[in-house]
Amino acid sequence: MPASHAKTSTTANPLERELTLTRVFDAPRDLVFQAWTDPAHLKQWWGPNGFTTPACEVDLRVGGAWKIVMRFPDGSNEHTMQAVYREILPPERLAFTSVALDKDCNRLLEGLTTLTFADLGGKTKLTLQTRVTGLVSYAGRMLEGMEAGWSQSLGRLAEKLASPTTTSDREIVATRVFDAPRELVFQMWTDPKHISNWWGPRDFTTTTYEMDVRPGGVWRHVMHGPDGTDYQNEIVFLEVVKPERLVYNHVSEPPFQTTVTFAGQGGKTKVTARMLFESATLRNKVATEHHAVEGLHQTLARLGEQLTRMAGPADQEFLFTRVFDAPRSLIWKAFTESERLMQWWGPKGYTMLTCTVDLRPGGVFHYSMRSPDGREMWGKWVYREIVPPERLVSVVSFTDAEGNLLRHPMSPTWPLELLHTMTLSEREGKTTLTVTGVPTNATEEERKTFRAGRNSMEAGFTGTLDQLAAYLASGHDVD
Amino acid sequence: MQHDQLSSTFAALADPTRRAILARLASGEASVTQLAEPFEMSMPAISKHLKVLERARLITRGREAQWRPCRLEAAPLKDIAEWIEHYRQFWEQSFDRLDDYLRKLKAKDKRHARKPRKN
Repeated sequence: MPASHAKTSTTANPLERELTLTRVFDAPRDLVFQAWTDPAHLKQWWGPNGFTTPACEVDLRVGGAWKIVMRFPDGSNEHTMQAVYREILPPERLAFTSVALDKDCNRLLEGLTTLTFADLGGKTKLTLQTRVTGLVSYAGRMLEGMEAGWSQSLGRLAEKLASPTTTSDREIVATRVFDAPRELVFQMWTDPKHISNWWGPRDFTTTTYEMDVRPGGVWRHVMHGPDGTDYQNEIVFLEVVKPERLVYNHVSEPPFQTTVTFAGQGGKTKVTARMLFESATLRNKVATEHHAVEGLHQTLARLGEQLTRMAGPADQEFLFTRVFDAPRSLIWKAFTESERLMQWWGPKGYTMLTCTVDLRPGGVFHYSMRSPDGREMWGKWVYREIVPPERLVSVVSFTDAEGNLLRHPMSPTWPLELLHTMTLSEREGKTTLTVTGVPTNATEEERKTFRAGRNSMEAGFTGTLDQLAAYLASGHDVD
Repeated sequence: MQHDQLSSTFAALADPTRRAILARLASGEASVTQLAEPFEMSMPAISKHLKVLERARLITRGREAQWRPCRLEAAPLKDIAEWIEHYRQFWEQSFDRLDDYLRKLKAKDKRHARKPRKN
């Protein structure tokens, strides 16, 4: 679309529902920014030719409202624009979402507008980008039965926007407290390097194409499901308040808006994630067909696990390394084939009784053994990740004969589940085995017991691996 | 009715694949196979996108024998283009007024330059 006005350059793209205008003003940047944010200034210039501005209210903070009433040149009608600030960075950037009436006065459209103010040595280049994000979904209801003028109805609309009580039937909410500082948790959510490590429900992996965390910025990513299905996702950020708050629209199907808040609680962080759908019907459809409620909780649980892993071995993990005089492929088999496990698995003095191995993600290694004092014990590994012959990730726990989780026989507050990551690396015919263990889905008390008992666990593991070394040395096993 | 039409236009345009399909159709009609080419997507996935576009009346499918070409329908996009034009006029006129206003402020500033100012 060619610019009709010589001073302003314009590009418009109906497919992207986007409009960009740039213009150079002969005034310093601070003043231009002020003209956009001070109600006394705004009243002087806002609106098309001939319009007047009887009222303007500005609450200049992110999440704050900006209301401006325009009176038509003939005084016949008033038109209110209602906006919410999404980013305020004086004197460089200003972003807001706004709701405005269309030209036929029967529809409400919502748009995100971003302004950038560039300093050109005393002059200011202003770039305005507006993206129409869609129709206001509840506009139909609002517009029916409207008695008075627009400002009143839009005032009610704003109340509706602000009131969370009316949305409970079309939202999915999850909350979780993380044992990590707020800045770190916020970073986990906004740094492409971090987010791919934990995003999505259990057994999903994520590939990020681009992530631009600022109002109007886009996060494009693919979620790979456990059954091989790929889910393309596009997210547009609306609000970015480091390290407190994120608001974004999921623009690919199904559409919804997510608000994530990060609240500090004495070194810990409480995260609330709220997905808001345009209708209860859509919310229920997504909850049923995509298991979104469970998925959101799993996503937060995975963030917790990732934070625990990142806390490092010094505090949280138990870490064990040992070198075996055998090729890597042989060690891998010793850990993953039932006949071989029967020969060596278990602490010193224990005898293996039964052993089944179902080596696939989600599959189980379930075993029983007899202790030196004659008691029968069961345990299992649930495989998470299998990369022969180098990496095996499993959730390890004590169980009964049916595979139900049991407490540690000697310690009632020992974590029910430990996440074991085993890696094997081979060099000159010798193999280094590294095992890290970390509690998963554990309470604070369980983690405390784990921290205190890590040393004894390492001792127990040493005994088990002694048996593996002896088994390998016995020559019973050849590749 | 009009409300529903614009709603489905917005919903259809929210997806990047569908926008890419429309951009391709802007240069002429194409078969489903031709449309699927640039995407790493299965034919059923592409067909699903085409159905959404068809329901939003952004495309029509021909009846010609086997290949049923897809064509872009401009009418719903015109609605959006009109909207953008409406915004453009609004902002341009506001910019003109802002320009005048800033000029006035600067002139006033110069007149008062010798007097001490609060800000």
